[in-house]
Amino acid sequence: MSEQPNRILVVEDDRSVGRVVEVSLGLAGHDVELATDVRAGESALRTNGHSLVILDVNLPGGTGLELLRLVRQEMGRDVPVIMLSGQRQEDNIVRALEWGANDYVTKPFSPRELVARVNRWMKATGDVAPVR
Amino acid sequence: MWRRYGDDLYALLVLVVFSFEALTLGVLTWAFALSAARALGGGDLISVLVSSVAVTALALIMIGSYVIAYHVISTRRERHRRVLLDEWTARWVSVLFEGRKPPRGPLSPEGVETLLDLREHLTGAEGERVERLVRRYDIGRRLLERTSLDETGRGPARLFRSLRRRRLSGRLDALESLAKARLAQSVEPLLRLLDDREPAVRLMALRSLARSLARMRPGPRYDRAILGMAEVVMTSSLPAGAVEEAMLLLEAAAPRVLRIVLAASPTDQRAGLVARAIDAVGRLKLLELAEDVAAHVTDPDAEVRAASLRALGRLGFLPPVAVPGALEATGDPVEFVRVQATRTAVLLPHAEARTALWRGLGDQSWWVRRAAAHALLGLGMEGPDLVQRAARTHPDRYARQMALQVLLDAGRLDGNDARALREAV
Repeated sequence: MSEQPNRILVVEDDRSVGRVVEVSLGLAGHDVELATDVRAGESALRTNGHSLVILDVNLPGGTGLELLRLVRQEMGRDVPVIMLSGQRQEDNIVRALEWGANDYVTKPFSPRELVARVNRWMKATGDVAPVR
Repeated sequence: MWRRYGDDLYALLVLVVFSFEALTLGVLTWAFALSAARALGGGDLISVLVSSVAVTALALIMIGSYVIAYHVISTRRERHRRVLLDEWTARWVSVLFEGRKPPRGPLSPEGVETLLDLREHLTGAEGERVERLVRRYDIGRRLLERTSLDETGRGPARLFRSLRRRRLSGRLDALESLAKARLAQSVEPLLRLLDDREPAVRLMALRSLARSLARMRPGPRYDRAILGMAEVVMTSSLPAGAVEEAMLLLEAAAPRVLRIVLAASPTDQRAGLVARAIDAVGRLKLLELAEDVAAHVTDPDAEVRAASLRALGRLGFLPPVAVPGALEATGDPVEFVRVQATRTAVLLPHAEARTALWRGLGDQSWWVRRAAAHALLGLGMEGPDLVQRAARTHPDRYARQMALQVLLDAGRLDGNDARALREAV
């Protein structure tokens, strides 16, 4: 597994959201890998090292929570995970945080706020993105 | 979501094929009749028969070819559409994030769809810029124009009105986009569309209306829209499930609409819709409407009684005024009301809950016994002990068995305990 600093995995099936996250994080100096379903997300998690992971909850072929469990339990990694979901119910948010998500951002979301949260987590883990 | 093209051609093709087939069968029947009357020779009859088989084969080939061609073409068109959507998304994103100049209007349907998608997902500075773009292109007015059906024209125009379905998919697309756009200006035209002769249009208009109301700002226009929506909820001819879905889409506007619906006289409402409105209160967890729901616990309609008890159970709150009704409902003559009442009995004052659930364990209905055992198990700290006691000492044999089963299902007993208890039961 190759570690690539500042590489962020985004698993998001909505093309417009994926594109927005990719561009806004890219402009903030992060290298973004985009996956659009659980299978692609799992494959990316297993083959590439990421400094941070952003997961949608509802995904084709499963849920982002399954990927979260994969990261935390099977792979035993403590990489920061931010959930980005349209599900705003308290139960869903609590469950994701209990399963090991570091943060939970609900849609509609502010791209600038998301970038700020990503930078905060990257800083907390020592992976500070170069400023462009 | 729906087939966007090809309906008219398919209908025409099927009409032609069936007409030819009917004609062929008519000729064939006539030929056999003549043959039976010995007015037609064997050779001629065989010719007619072979021709009929050939026509049928040709018809099948035509329809088969159409279906195959339709799938090939529609797959390509969908692929092309996805490419256009991706291009438009990339264009909007570069407008929002890289300062690129916005494209000139009017926008293509893909341009509108992607912009509305972004509006649905973005807040903050970028969300406001999307909002300004939506206003700049006057998307609301253009979508509303596409939702209306052109009924004008005489003579040949009237003849072609039968082809209205050709435009139906376009209207539905526009209504779907309006649901995404959630524009205040679309509320009144959408209310008018609820009387449309096409049920699909009425359904999509109702969904769009609910989503638009959810984002509308308070004011006289909002108040009128709330009243209009409440009237629709009470009298709509759409399936009750569709109306309930619209109620769930109301989000922040739901309490006001539902309060009006729940306060209205039953004679002003379509049967079944009150129960759906009550269900919506429970699903949306609108605690502020608990008292309004409680008023229906003793409703003459069993569906409404059951829905009220179910909703109060979901809210997790039984207003004091509803306690006598809820307690009485545990002995309701209708089974599904008793099931809901038993589930909600955990919210009764403790002593009453314990008595009602103990009694419910001995109910003649398996569902009520099951609900009672589960409810008893969840009755505070002493719940598991009460179920254990029921498994040993309840006077009803089936109640003891149900209590045992629920303890097993909940993992409260290991194999040895279960065996010992089963023998005792």
